[in-house]
Amino acid sequence: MTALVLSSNEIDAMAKKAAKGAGMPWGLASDAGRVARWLADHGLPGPELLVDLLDWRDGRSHVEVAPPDVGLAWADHPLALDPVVVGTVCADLAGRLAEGRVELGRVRQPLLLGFALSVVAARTATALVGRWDDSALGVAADHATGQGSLFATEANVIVEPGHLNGDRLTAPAEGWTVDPSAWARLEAYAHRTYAPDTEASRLRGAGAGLIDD
Amino acid sequence: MLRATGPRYVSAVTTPPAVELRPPNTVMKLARLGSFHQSRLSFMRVLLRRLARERWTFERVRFDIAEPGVGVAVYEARGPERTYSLVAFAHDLPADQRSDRVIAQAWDSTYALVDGVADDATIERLAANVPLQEAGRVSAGELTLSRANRSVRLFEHVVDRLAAGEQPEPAKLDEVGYLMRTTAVYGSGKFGLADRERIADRPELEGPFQAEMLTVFLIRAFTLDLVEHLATLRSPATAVPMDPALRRSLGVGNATGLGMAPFVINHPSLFSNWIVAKETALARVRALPTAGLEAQTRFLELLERAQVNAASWRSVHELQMEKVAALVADLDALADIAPALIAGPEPWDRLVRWADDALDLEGQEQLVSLVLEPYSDLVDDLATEMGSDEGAFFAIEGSMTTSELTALVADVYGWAIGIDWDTHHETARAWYVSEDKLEPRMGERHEELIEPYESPLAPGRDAAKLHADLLAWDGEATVAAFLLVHPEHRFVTRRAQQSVAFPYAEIRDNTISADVLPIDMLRCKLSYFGATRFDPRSDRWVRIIMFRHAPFPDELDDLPVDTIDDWGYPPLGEVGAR
Repeated sequence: MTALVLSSNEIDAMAKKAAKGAGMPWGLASDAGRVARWLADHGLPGPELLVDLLDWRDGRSHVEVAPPDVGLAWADHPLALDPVVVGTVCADLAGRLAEGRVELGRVRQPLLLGFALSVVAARTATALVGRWDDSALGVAADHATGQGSLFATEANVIVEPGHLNGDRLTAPAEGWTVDPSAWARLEAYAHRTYAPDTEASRLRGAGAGLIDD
Repeated sequence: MLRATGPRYVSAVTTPPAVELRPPNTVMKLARLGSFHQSRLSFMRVLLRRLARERWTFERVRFDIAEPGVGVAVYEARGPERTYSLVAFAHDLPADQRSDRVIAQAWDSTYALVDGVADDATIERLAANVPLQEAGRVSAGELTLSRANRSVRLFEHVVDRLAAGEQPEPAKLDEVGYLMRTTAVYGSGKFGLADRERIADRPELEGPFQAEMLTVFLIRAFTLDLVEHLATLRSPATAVPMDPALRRSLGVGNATGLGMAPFVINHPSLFSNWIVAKETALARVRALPTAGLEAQTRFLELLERAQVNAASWRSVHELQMEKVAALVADLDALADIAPALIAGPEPWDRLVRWADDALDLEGQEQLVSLVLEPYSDLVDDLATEMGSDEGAFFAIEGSMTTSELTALVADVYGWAIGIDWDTHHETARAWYVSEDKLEPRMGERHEELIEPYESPLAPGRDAAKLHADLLAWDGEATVAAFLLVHPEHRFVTRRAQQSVAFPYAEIRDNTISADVLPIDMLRCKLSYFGATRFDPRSDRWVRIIMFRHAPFPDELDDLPVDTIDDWGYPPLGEVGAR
């Protein structure tokens, strides 16, 4: 099998549909699309991490995995938090993260917060550093840097204003080469958004099937 | 002359018009959007003006096509900084496989626009993928992927005639208007193509759909070369090339189904910028205190040519036939009143205000396009404002209070809050994607099992729900807190907030009612492309013609730059004129 090299647009579109298929409403799923795309645009496995998250999230309710409030301090939450939802609260309240350090609590796949930090950086013109375990992700308005492995299934996350002098995270020249099995799993989630085909819908739904004249 | 109707919206352009823009509640109605006509700001015309201005050169660097029309051809377009190459594959398609549907699997011809010069290795790679279209893979080295089918009735006629040393019948050319019609022109990262972000900073591609339009422009040249070539293969001793005037009368057809309709909903900031550009152009022209003699003459000439266009505009669709008949009558009325009106003060504003009362929507919007024609200096610079860095407007302002959001929603979606969304009539339709080749469709919500798969293409209904939930919420709470509890409102909240900076982002009509005509959305988008001869085949798919009467690539160099753009309306005396 030849390697599947994806455009950013393809990742965004598939991740959005997959997130919707896994139960996120469309608006949140749109964020999930950006989340996967942002990582791939920085040479990191966005589609692969997102599908892990969707597997974990599948069957759980929004309330179970969402922060209980917009306090940006959720250390007491019993279950790890969904990074897409956490990210939307961070991005929506960008000014709060630019003002000073927040301790978000335990987050699933914390690297998936990268996009939200980039939104905060862009909206507030403030560089930020997210820290978990031995990893650090630095996000400024125009570039991102990393330290440590960056990967963690679950970890306590701290975000604070500042610059990180780590390795520059850059886009692959030709596009993201996706893990085919992860991509197939995303497609399976996306497939849940497609209506089963019926002859009636085929004839009626798209218009006439005129051959030629 | 200032009009006192509606709120004043500030556009992005540097010179604010002295006449207000028509308000969104007037412009963004489906029936009006579905009556838009091509204009100076249409993307095909923007492209050709640039190609002429920058003295682009074109060369057919390869043409290896054998009977019955199988092989490969390559056309290079060379600009001041970069070269783009159309790689065209011609196929032998059995007649029973020729379908305009997106679910087709074989075509008469397939195309890719290569970013740069296409070397042999690239052509070989594309030959293994481009003919497969959606089932193949292309790369970031390509900008577009496309395919086209022959118009069987015209293609054969033209090859026959040319092979016999005769010209095709003008009436037949006019009846169809093209030799081939595209059934998709993909761009923006689809199937591995280059992402828009990779190329958006190039001046020649920063405007919307410029790579797609360049593709179609080169496909048109290929289709004409192909018929002449096949005629020569068929009868080398007698074949003749087509008369240049007849060549010009042919464009490229296009068959477009529902898949295009969601675009104008899914790209709110971009769509708003298209509308703002044309509305700003209109406002600038309406603000003129007088019209010079040259502008008056130009307008009246183009009005006459618009009458020729309307007279020869055919459709098999009953609604469209009614609209065209009304347009013909409208243009007659306009031709009666215009000469006197435009010789007086505030000519264009008076004419537009007269039309608001006297003409149908088709006629009103045709007039909007026509009054822009004499004023390249007031209009053409707006083409540079029609793109959008869409990613930059994704963020939600979560610190806004819910009472502020409530007021905003009431302002933008007031029309929707008044609709009774509990009736089957208002929610009769649902947009969805079928699992069969992922084809976008519209179905009957209350008769088919499709609602669980509904695509988010009914912002009005969603906004009405949002509004109802907001009213039950503490007004001092933040939008972030509200959306954490109501993630189902995140989608339309984002749209509502975008409407502050992009007042024309939202269609202010019900897109799921029993009365909705998806062709209205198609017509609107296609008018911005520059399409003509809009011909609906049902309420949800259409045929149109692109680049009809436009110069060919090899003619751009021979024509004065200021005449290159004179192809939006058919020439006087064209067949079909009354």
